[in-house]
Amino acid sequence: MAKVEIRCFATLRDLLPFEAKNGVYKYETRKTTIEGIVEELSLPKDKLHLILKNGVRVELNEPIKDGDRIGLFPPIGGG
Amino acid sequence: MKIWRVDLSNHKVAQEEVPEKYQPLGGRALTSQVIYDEVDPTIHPLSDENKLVFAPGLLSGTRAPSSGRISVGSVSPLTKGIKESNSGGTASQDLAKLGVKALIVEGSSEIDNLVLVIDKDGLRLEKDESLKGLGNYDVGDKLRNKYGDSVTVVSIGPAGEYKMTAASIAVTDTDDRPVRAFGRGGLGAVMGAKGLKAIVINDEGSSGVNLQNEDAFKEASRKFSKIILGHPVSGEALRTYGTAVLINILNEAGGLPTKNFRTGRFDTADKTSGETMTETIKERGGKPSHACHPGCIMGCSNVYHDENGEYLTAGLEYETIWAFGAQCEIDDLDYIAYFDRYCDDIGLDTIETGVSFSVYMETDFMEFGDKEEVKRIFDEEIRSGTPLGQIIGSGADNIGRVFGIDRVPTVKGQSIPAYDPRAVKGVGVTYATSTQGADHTAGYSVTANILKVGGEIDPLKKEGQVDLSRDLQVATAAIDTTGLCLFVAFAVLDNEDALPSIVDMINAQYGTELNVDDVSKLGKQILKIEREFNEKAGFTKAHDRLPKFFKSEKLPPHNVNFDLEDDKLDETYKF
Ligand code: SF4
Repeated sequence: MAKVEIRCFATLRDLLPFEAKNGVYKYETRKTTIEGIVEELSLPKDKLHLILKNGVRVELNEPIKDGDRIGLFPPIGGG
Repeated sequence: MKIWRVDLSNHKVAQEEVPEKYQPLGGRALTSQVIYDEVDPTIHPLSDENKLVFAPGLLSGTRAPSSGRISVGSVSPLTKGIKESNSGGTASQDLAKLGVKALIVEGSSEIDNLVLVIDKDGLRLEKDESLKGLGNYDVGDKLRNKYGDSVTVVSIGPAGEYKMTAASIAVTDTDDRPVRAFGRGGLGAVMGAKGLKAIVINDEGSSGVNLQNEDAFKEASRKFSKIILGHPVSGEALRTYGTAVLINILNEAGGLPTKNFRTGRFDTADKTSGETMTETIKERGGKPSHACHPGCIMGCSNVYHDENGEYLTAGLEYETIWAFGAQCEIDDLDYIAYFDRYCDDIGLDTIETGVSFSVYMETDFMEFGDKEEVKRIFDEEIRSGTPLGQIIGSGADNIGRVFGIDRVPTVKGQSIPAYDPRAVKGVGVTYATSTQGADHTAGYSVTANILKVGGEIDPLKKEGQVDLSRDLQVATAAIDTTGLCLFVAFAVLDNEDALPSIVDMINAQYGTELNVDDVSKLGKQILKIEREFNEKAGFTKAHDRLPKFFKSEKLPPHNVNFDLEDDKLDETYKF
């Protein structure tokens, strides 16, 4: 089991389980990759433009471990 | 089109034919060329030898989407180099419709509070003592009363009159509010030094913009609109959350400069995020999306109401929220919105002013996070131009000098904005090498570094950053010539049909036969003359460097420093 912190932003925020607060959802999972988590939480894969693990951009198949902080973003921009 | 010129030293106005070599230029290409041709690089920026050159972009005034951006060129009192500052609002379209290729303001008047009125009959100077000391909101109200509700007002607030080196020039938006600005480089002080308080533009009865080939223009412009609207950033994200949506991504990526560039994460960043802002705006009946000029289809702007549901400010941007927020460790959006309103009204660049406060917070006189004291300084010191107010309004570099602080995040005298160059190295290259001083817009490497737009380059590594920054600096200079909002770049970088359709629009409008290669040639030409100007003003390689602490101090959470070698940085301008 790994305790992870899932952080969803922009339009993805509303898709997290109800207990999430301000887009942050902490939970324990048996899954071993970000993809597993995304499937477990029923998040839309096609909307995940940016995936960050502990602040570093990764791909969907990235393995996870206890204590990871995972940020998920749809396409965004500004400047 | 004509070049309209006003000489404030002897109150003379003139309309001149456009010299052939200026014909294909607009926006930044034209402002930088005129400054290069007409201004001695060694002058004092506040002397009567400096000029302000306003030029609408090549496509401004047409129905090309989001094409209402205007450039002003000058010698900056902040960087002491050449400056192009770019603004939205309604000025660009109005000037273009009146047939103004460029407006050159030169000399300086012995009397202050002059108003330059521009309409279909030409230009004239008037004097209005009642404007003295007024903020941009009141200036606009008074001038609309006098000259009509639909005029555009370009004005300076008290900061410009006090010649503070962070002073901006305000431009009114579609709702007649002075919330768009030529923000960077302190050009409000140049306008103040000339005695010019405002420019009133009335495009009523103007002949409009002439199109050589209307059908071809329509087709190209329709195609371009489709590309913009079809891109997830320019077609959707900007409108939904504004630019402030970047707070959370930069925070997540560990590149949100916090407490004067000490860490890349701000614990309570979300309180100031685009998501929180949008929710707050909706709850209070403001507008989460707003266009700064008619015809902008991206609508990244907004209207922010206070707790009572009353209008407070508009165009609350990522950089502003960062400058008064994470950079000063303030996580109260209402205070930040108040500071934004204050900067717009008094006429100060929000980035420079926020960073100024953060450097002042390094002294014993103020603590980080003290929002009440920031407010007090705005209300009591800056507004009335006390010595402290004058210092804070004169930029981070000056504050460091006056108070003996060596942690000053500036390049060429201009404050580094909202992306830490250690964790977003591509933009670090831009900060260091741009002719404009530290300026994220000059080569927005955040695209490929963080946003996965226009490719992917690891933001924490040094590989590829120089090429990325160079390409973007060239492309940006070209886009700043068209009058298109830089945010079209999100679509341009990802869709190869976008640039050709921009070229098609220009060709259809002017009857030219430019091709895509000419665009990058133009971009390079602009950077070359800007750089040459700066060299003549005394700039050397040593000015193309970041402050030392970015090299020596590691930035949490990634614990990275800025490790690009000096000779690598020097390759940026090799083209
Ligand atoms: S995208 Fe924003 S800044 Fe650009 S033109 Fe539109 S409203 Fe103005």
